[in-house]
Amino acid sequence: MSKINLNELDPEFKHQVAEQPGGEGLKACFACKACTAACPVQPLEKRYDPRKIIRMVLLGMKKEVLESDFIWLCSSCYNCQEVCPQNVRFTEVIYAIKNLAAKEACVPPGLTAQRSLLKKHGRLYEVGEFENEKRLKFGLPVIAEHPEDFDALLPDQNSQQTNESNVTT
Amino acid sequence: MSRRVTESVFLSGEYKSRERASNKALILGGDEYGIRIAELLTREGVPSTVLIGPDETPPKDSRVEIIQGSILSSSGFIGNFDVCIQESNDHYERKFGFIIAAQPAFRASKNRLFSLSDSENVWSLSAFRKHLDSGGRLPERKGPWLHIAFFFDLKGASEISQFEELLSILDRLEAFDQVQSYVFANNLKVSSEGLDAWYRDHRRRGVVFFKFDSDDPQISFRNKELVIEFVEPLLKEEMELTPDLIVLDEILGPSPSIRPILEMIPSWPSSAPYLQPESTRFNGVETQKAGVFAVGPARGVFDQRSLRADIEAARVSILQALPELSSLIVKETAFIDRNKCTFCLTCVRLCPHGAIGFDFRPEVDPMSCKSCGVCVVECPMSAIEIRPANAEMIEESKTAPLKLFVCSHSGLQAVSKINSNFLTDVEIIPLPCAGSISPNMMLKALQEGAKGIVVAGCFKGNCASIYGSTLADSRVAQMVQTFQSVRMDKVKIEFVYLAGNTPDRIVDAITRMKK
Repeated sequence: MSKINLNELDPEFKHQVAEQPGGEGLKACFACKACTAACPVQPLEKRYDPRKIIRMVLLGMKKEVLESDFIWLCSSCYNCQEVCPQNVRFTEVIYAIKNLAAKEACVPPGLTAQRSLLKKHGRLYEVGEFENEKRLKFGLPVIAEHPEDFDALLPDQNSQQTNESNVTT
Repeated sequence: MSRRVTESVFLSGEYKSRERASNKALILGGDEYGIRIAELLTREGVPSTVLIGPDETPPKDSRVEIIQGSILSSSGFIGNFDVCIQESNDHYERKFGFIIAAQPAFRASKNRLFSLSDSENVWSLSAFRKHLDSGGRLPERKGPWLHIAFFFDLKGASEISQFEELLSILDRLEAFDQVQSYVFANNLKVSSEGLDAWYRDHRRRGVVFFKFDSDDPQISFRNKELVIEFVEPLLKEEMELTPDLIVLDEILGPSPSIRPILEMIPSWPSSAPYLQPESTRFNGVETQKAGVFAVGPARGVFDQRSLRADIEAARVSILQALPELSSLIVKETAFIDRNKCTFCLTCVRLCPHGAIGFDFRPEVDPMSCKSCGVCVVECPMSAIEIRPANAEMIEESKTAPLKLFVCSHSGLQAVSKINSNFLTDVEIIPLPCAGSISPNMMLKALQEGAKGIVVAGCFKGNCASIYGSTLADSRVAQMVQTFQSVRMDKVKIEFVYLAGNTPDRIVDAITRMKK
């Protein structure tokens, strides 16, 4: 891997993350690795290392963090938050990072696909005639899709699609 | 025993001078601190004189005696230091009972260690602070951010006071926009009041700290620009930084103006940077030489509370020593047999406490002697004697198959924590210091039928005689090697380092012996 040049990193990034709701505790981290040790994802996917992610944010590796796919691997189990002696609240921090990534339009295709499903059907699983017939057979009410419920939350925008190619899973 | 000591006191001419022991203290430098220390000590019954450098300005109204000059030479022992002072064109000798060094450490640039020369991009910590204090400016930004790299505690240890200085520089840098500071450090020194919070505060405000355990960052020139290359310790990735400024901390050392005093302290070149012995057995302000103290600025202490504690510690030490000085001492000390002594001065050189002086012949100062026994073993003529505190115990049992020589500082404490059933066939022989174990003692133990010998001394950095346990370790290693070279592999001798709370180290060693 080529050398990382600190001059090209963004010193503002750590402040940016810390200003997000939930990101406040970020700079208290003293890299004790308790979060990494408690994380159930980390043993399966070495690239997802809470301690290293914090370090990358503190160093200002904005591009590397926001455009990565590993920040989306968090299972939100809150183990890291429970064990942190510095009250960093890493689960909240990773939400803050993900929110920033979404703002910068760095969302992995899986999530974009979910978004379009939600927008189209108002739910993550499409309910068609086949399903509803089966439900009737069991005496269950028919499900109607109300995608219009999400119009306010998910406005039309194509920026996600354009940036999708940047993200690999 | 007391007779022998008395004899040694008489022989060395110390008895006469004991009566003339001085209770005066000489305070060396330290600006307003030195004056304050002198005033406090004088009030406590220790008349003090302050010596300030020839180019310093003496304070106008002080209640203590102030001499402006420099030290030419210094010799003697606690209660009896002869200090030769040069005052303008005159020089004279004066007697002081105690010497207290209070001037701040001398600072030397670390540039050379990083192969750097002084330039507008390279600053030392103190110079950069002065620059900022006097309203100095920072260089023009080349990019959106101005990058400043600080080096701390790399290539030579740094002190708490320097970390305070670094933090106060970071405080001042807050006044500038778009400045990103990086601190490349080995150990951060935060063990002073409020420092840890101050440091955390700067982390919160965005200063980035790198902590290196090994693989220090390298500074090199590339296209006439300074580049710092390093492996990020947490991410383990290679990184580089082209800083606009590099600020290096400095090497601290005892001030050269007190060199004659330093020369009285044994092994002072290694006791960097503030005359402090490399052992935790000494209280904060003591040096290896009895009667010489390093107080306040001379050991990196500047804040008022710690300074007051330092003065108090020195005062207590002095007041405790005073009654002993005026009486004839009947404690165990080394005794040099003048008929056997060949003036090789091995003892003078090796005494870890600087307790042996040379005045026509080597002489032991009873007040300074800690009866560690290092000189007894090292004397090539076997001319020095100390009777160990528990010598009777050696005489008692000669049949135990295992001999355990323990230092009376931590060794005995550790032994007391071992179940006595385990030690039934072990003879415990206390030594004043592990450094007083001699090859002869080990051979004698073997001659008496010992199957194994364990020698136990304090951990390095905890030895009351600084290098006593190191000496013992090397002597044991030498014995083992000798026996191996003559194929006597069955002889088991071992040295263990221990502390009072690690009796398991002795248990392990004895278990190995018993196998």
